[in-house]
Amino acid sequence: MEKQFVCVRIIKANGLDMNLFQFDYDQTWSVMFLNADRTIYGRYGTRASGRKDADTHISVAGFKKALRRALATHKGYPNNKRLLASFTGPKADFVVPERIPTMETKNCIHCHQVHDSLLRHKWEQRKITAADYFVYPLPEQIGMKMEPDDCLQVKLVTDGSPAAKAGLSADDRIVRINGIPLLSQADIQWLLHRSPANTRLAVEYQRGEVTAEATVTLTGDWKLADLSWRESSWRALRHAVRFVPLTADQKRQQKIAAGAMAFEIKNMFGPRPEPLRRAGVKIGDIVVGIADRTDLTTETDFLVHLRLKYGPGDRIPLRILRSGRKITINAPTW
Amino acid sequence: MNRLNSLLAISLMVPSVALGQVKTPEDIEVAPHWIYDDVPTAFAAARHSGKPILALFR
Repeated sequence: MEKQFVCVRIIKANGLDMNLFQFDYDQTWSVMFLNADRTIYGRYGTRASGRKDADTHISVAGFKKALRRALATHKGYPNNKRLLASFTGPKADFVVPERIPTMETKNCIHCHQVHDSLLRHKWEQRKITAADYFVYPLPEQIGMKMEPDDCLQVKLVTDGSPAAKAGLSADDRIVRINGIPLLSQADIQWLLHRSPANTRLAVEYQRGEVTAEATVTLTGDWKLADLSWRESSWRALRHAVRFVPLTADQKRQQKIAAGAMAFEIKNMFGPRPEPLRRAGVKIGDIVVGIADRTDLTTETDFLVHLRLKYGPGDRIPLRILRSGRKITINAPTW
Repeated sequence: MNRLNSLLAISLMVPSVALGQVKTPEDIEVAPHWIYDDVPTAFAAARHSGKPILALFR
């Protein structure tokens, strides 16, 4: 089937047209379908966890369906051109990755380095927001787990979720959102990514022979997700410091309450954490709070809070447990 | 990782060809349809052929 396409493989992001090629840069495998006039037909490729489970949202069967849908979209072109405009992103801040001031790699730029350099740049400019970190929400974040072998068929709807409240159910096939034809769940992610936190989506779906429309109402913090699997999190959030949550046993040994915040500093790699070392932070220290916050129990919550609240040049009141003693170190950001 | 590996199998043939290491008839069949790290050439080919573009980032 690939012979019906002009196929191009891009292994490095050097010179990548960032106005056109906008997708979840933390994926290991991603596809965009386009017309020769730069109209985007859609995307394929979804990832939700680390390397061991990197393929839970993709399959050969699902990819084949996306290919067929892309060919159908191409057949309907240009009559559908207006609808497809939503697949093109906003003007990029930098036309190519090499222009990002915080881009350190010059020879072979990986896609995730595009994302982490953009995030680091925004952080250094004190312009970072939660929306910059929490990108490309999965359909399950609004209550729809999709079948990987179809990409658009709902496998499971979570009780009480926005999808459930809209009346969607398992086996429904999502056809369009806000009138935009979809190729795969990567397209759903794109539309969720581009949506404000408070919004309503017109979801057209097929149930058996019947086509119907549901309104999914989204509000609140549905975009929040685990970011720890993202390769970009190493530079954009951790910046070469590895924080590992204590296990229940470790918490008992340290006399830390079961639900309390506790991260062991496992590693500090290379020169980036040097400001922390100079301030006296050591490998093996257990971080049990930042200023008055002791409720940040996941690595994502902890690091996103740290990056959003503390910018370049700020001091972070790190509450640390070291050899059974509680100390506070006003550490510089790094 | 089987599914991911299967997907990768398509793309992994391309660098082999680019490096002059074609080993199987399947490689020969697939590889000529792929352009390697050259987006402008892909757009030119799409304009010429009328085909849509499949851009794989890997």
